[in-house]
Amino acid sequence: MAVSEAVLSARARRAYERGRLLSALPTVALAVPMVGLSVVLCDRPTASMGCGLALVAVLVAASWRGRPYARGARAGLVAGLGPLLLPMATCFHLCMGGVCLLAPTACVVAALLGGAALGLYARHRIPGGPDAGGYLMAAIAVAALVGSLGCVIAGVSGIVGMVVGLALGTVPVLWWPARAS
Amino acid sequence: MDRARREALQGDLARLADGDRDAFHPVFVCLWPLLRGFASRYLPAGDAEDAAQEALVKVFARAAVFDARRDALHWTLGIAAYEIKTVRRRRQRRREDGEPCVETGDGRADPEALAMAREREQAVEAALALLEPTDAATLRAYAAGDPPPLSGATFRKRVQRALARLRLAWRIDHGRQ
Repeated sequence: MAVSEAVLSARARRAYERGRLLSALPTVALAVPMVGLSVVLCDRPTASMGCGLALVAVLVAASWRGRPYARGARAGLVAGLGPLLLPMATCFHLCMGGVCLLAPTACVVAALLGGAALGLYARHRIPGGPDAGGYLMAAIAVAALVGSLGCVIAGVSGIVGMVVGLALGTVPVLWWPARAS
Repeated sequence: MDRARREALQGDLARLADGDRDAFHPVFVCLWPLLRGFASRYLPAGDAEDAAQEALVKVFARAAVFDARRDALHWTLGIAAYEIKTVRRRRQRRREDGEPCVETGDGRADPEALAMAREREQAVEAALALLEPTDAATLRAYAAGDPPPLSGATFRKRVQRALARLRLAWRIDHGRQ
């Protein structure tokens, strides 16, 4: 059946946007084991699920939007691995059975390192301009949410410490070379 | 499609895969006539239009996962070829299910369909006349289901070659190449 080009174009556009949403699924699938780990190990299932849902929403939006946002989201997933895993590891190996003061420290240290790595990567690989802003925004949001899944083990102080650590790690690395040049 | 347009399609489809919506219109403008022409080579007009539309929508639905290292034109035509194959299979199934093609509901022959069938037969005869007599004889024997005068494999190879020449003659005769 012959249809006008405008109708066909609108249909193709809808198919494209739907395809973009579906293309977010592999990235979202990476978040599922992270959320599962947090729910099982961190003993705060509601907080873990909340962080997990927020992470999935940000990942879907960034992957659907594409370009710097999608690249930033993938980088954020990697940068958030430290604050996700380190607090869990310290709690289970160093603080068995008691109150663990190491967990918030682990959150801050891992977030500092993750943030610095993210900043270095962005500084060297992402060209300046409007794309850089979108990249950093998505990367930091995803890294913070992934980190929250691990730092929820240390409560609100752990999450706040992690976010501060992430900012302190990223910002100087991004600004210092820019000032030097 | 010339080299410049092919490279432009490659670049635009890669941008679209990356999420650049500005590349949507150039890709649409380039692909729609291309897919319509491609489908019309293998299907009758109505079916060709439908297959081209479906292929175009599928290309855009999968554009987000297009790998920029692959050839954009081959990738697109691959999707279109699959769609054409699907339409052909559907037509064949309809025929096997015994849906009336040439006859009207009351059992009488539909004059328009009969005229089209006659026209098609004349076109095939005209294309056969352009072939070497041996090729034409091979194809007539094959169509009639006559026992092959040669060994099976040789006959099949001969039919295959004669069919390729017939297709070429058909396209040239109908101004598609």
